Amino acid sequence: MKTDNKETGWICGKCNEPVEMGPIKAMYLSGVFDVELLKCPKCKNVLVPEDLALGQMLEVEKELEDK
Amino acid sequence: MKCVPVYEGSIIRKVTGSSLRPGGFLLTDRAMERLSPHAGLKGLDIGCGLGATINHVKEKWNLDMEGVDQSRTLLAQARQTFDLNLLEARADQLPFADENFDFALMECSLSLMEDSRAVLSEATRVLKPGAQLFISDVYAKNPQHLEDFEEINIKTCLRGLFDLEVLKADLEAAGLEIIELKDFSHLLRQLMVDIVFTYGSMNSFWGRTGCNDAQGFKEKIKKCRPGYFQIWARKGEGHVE
Amino acid sequence: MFLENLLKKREICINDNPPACEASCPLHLDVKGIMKEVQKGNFEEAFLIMEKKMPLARLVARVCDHPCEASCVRKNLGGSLSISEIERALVDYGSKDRKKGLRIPGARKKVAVVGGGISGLSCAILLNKKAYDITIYEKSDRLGGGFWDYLDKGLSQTVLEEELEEVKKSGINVRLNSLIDRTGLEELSTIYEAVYLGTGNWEEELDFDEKTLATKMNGVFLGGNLSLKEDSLIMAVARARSASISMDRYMQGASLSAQRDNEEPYETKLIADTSAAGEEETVKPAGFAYTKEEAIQEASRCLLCECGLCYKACSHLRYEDKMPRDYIRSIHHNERVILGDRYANKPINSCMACGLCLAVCPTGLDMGEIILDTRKSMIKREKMPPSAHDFALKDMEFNQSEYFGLLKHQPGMEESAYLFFPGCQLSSSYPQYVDKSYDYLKEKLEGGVGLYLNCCGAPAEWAGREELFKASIEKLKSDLDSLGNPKLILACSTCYYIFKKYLPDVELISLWEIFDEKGLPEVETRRKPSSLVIHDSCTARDFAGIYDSVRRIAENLGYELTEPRYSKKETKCCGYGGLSYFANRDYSQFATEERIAEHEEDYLAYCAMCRDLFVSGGKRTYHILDLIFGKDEEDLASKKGPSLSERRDNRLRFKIFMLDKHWGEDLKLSEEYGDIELIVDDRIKELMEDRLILAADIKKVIGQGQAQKDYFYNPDSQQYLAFRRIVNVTYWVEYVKEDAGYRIINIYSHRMDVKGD
Repeated sequence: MKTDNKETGWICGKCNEPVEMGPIKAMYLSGVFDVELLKCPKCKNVLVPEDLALGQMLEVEKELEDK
Repeated sequence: MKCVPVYEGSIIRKVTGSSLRPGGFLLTDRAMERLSPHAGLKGLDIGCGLGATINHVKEKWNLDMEGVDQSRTLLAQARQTFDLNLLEARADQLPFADENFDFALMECSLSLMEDSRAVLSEATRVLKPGAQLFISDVYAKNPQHLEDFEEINIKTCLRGLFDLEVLKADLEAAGLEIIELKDFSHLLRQLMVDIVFTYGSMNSFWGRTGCNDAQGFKEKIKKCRPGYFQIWARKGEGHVE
Repeated sequence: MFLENLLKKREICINDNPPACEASCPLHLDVKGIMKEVQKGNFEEAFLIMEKKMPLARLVARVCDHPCEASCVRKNLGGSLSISEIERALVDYGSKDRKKGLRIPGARKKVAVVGGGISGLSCAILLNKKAYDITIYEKSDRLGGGFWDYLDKGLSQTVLEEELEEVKKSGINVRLNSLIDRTGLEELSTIYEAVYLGTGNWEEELDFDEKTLATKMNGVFLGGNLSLKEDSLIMAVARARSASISMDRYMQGASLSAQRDNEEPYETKLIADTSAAGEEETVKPAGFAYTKEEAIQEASRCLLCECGLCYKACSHLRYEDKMPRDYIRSIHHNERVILGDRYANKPINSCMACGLCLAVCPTGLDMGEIILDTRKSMIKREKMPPSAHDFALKDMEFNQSEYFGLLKHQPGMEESAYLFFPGCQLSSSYPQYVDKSYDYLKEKLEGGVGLYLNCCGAPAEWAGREELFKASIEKLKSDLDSLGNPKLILACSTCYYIFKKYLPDVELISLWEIFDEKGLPEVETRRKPSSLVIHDSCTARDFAGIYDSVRRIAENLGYELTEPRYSKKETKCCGYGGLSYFANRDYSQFATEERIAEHEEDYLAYCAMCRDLFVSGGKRTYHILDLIFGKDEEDLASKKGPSLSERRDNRLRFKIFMLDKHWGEDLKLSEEYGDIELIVDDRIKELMEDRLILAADIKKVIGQGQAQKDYFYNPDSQQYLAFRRIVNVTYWVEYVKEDAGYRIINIYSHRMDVKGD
């Protein structure tokens, strides 16, 4: 998912580092998946914007609930 | 009806890369590990597509493989991308002599073929006695829902979801012994996650492929509960008459 | 077990059974289908429907002795439908085009029919259609037999002769002047594959099987009046048909007797809904026969018998457009195939489990029970999407925790003869009335009235969570035991329903019965009694004690009550039941709107959720406690109920208040980061309701986020984006810091967990 400028304006509260796209693990219903999302390069806190949470994440949650 | 082969387009490639299948080269490597290959081993990739597997095997396992595919489009791209000369041929009419190869791979390709029994028969023919065959593909966890997808114009491996019991019987009938059958459905789930994160939703993905009934296709697939498997099979030792 | 029971329960529904007329017709004509077409003036279509089951329709329809009319459900509602008169009208107006039947080529088995009368002709025609080679042996010099007797009873000679000609043209061989006696019959039975005896009379008594009409002679079957104790034209035709079925099977080598049930006339299992029938009487023809208009008028009296009472009453069945038999079949199918189909989940979680379907069903089919059992099955097989009921179950957990739970004897007493259990929703919406009610009860009752704040566990029952519900009920039981099993006073019908069902040994009484018995408190109010529509809570439907006492209370206060169409035992759910409010908000709103649209006037409810939902839908509604205690400083009927967050807060505050006021105890309990000030506008308030995010959750996110620096910061906009995972949901709050507190910009959540690699 292409990030827009609004997202890249965020800085990690712990480390003061700007967030970048990086590998993260997503977990739901005993499935673990590799995804690329915005995160702090230092402490690895992940930033989930609203459209991702209510869009793709919700879609994946529903697809996995159906399996 | 204009048939839309999903695997030829850039839509899926954006998500899977050049392997055009779930799991990338994970199952390829798993197959190669079981082969314990040495130099000089002759291998055939049936349904080689872009040639990515052959390229990977050459780079990682130092083996030169031959490849056939029926898609002129993909073969042309293979020539440009990997500088490989692969043969254009149908899998049920392989242009090779009997008992030619030490191993063969069919990765997410058998499901795309019209007559899988004929293909298996051909594959067995070109394999040496005792040779190995690795098939990884999609299957239906609910095979009782495998209905005709006639009305939908999409050409994708999901259309050829296997009923594992039927496939196992076909392998045996072709003279192949099954050494191992393992489920790798999480690779398919990972692919789904990748597709959703790239395209926003499954509906959006199917819609972009040019499919004429994204919603209908998706629902039929769902009923079958698709999974992914890898079979490791071996040809019997006896010689063909 | 669950699956087998499902199919058994499906058979309880009688809606698929044929109407009485069809069942009692010896030919089982689709009379309903015929009436539907005639209602639209489609005489030709109607005639085709009749001809499907009736050989020689142009003749038989004229002279049928119509046993169907005696069973018509309009017998006592203006008079039976004149089915036979309408059938004659079909012949008059709908039988113009005669389709030429194509003769199927190829070798045919040979069949003999003895007797060219009514039953012989019927059998011959039916077997001819099935590609047999028929030869009729008729003793007289013409075909037709008993039909000729009807020439003076409405049968036209021209038509009769035309039909008989058609018989010959259709390829049936006819041997006139051929009397067949016993010897002749034996001979025929050796020449032909099968023989039908339809002579009406025979020289000897013949032994035959009543069901298959087979005689002792191989391949010889009989029918018509020979097989009847009493002559009946239409029965004779029906018997000819039955014989033809037997003969066909005999010649194919198939079982004669398999699946022959209900071939004879029978009484249908269908219980038709006659509530729409008016007083219209049977239309009599002005002349000899119906005109087209008269036929249409009479056909319009047909109720097109069906049951469908549940469908008519239940908004869920109508919203999903599913009749019970189809619904159960699809549940059975989904469960068997172990499908976690999202498309099936939503309907299952939308049912309000309100019991209305059972209340109206004439044969006692309980769809609500089936659906709750399905939810239990889904939970067991891990196919229930967590998002459906998560919020409600978390709410229940809160109510059973120290944040709301309270169990105490009356202050200053060591025992409780009574225990007041107001329930969680009433304590959320009307904490002040609960307090007043408690004061009232302590004053009016002897032996000590304890107070018990808890959740009865209904959300767990509705969510199909058997284990959770069982644990909850067991805890309730042990709490009651620990207080010496006092009589439980309930203010909520759902609590009453749950206790009644799962703890039947506990003595229960509703708060309303006590108000009714002991008299209402004196309360000064300026409100003048008006006319109100009384809405019964769905869970009160089986408890007349509750709904009668509420009515008496209102009437004693001077209110005039109107009964809605669906009331008392047949009341409709407000939209909250079964947790459908959470699982399918759209449908829940549909149900609420349907209920409040029934009447123009203001409503009266005795459940906090009913009242709050109606008001949120725009209907002015009083709670019965408004009438009893309300002082009317504000317009109580239009006062909006509390938001989800306010409900939570109210409950905790209520516990703190009660402990202080009645027991002088100081409860130092607050929610985590409860001191944080939030600045929230209407847009955010709406998001909170829609996305089921509580103010308490927001505070927890901000509190911990700020403390542990689990947030992201945008220096340009000075906005913070804090996050926190609470149990199984990650919450995100976007905000800016202001002097007065945290101004909330956005809130959202997701269930998937993410971790940087």
